[in-house]
Amino acid sequence: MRPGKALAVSLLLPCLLYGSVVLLAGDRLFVFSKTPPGRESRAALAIRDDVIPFFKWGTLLFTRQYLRKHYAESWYFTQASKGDCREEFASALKQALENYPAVDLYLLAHTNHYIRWVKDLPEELRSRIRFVYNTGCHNEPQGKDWLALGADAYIGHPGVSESPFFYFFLLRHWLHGATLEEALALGNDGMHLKFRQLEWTTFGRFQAEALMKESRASVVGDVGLRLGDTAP
Amino acid sequence: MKRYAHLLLAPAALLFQTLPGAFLYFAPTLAFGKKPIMPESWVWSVSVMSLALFALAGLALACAASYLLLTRSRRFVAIPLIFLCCVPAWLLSVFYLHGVLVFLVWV
Repeated sequence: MRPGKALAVSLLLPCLLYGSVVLLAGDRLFVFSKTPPGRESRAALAIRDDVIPFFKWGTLLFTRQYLRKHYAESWYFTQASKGDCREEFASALKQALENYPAVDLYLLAHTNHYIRWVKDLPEELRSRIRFVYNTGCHNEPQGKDWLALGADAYIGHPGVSESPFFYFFLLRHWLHGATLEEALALGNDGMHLKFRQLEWTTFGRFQAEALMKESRASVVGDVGLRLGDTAP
Repeated sequence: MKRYAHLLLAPAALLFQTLPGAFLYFAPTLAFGKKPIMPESWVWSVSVMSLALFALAGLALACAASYLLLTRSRRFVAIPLIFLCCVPAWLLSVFYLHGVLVFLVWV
């Protein structure tokens, strides 16, 4: 083959394969995307529970830069044991609530009760908690408690959920300006697609519909909330 | 032997993919194992930079292997070797590259 043609084939093939990886991932690309307005008025805290190192590592890699880019200040905690980081988390949350009118919480943990860490804070501070996302299994019913505590909106999962699939889509779309309702729908659709892919590749060992029943996230509170809406 | 050196680059490109595989296996333990070696504040930067290097090196190796096979070998040798060695190496490399771009919030 002529060198020019060989070079073209050798460069084009990986580009096509990159396209197939993006298609398989099932999410649109946010190339040169801008941070929604009001970055200076919002902060975020994320906490990962004590799981295997690979999960801790993956969650950190995916989450940290998104929070840094889209929030004026962010804190990320990885627990080394159950109950670890309680003081640090409470102190950072207090600092965030004192300094920013809108604070979002990402509770990236199995079935959890971080709500207990928050309820002792003064009511006027708690009212600045804006959005809470909780990956925990069976933590959907906590929504009403978070709203009663002062949060504006809460997303949780009903059963033994495979929430990482949902979180991937939710975080990307919510931080790029979708309303919670839109991000929720995109997250559930994206997760469903992943489950169907899993069902197909495992010859039906995993049942997409059964997984969806346990994992389908729901929102309570202000479903029209956008990242750029800074006033809680 | 030198005449056939270009044939070795494609298997080498595929073999190179064991390095990012090993990195994915060991890095989480180095960062979050029982006795972590890497401070948590370094984990993101070191991991993303390493994955980016592996992805780019893997792409470069597979592209060079494919180019040399297409220009120096007969088609019945080049095409199977590209499909068996370069395509899997490309696939893994672009997968890591996409991961890096997502982690950097560039896409």
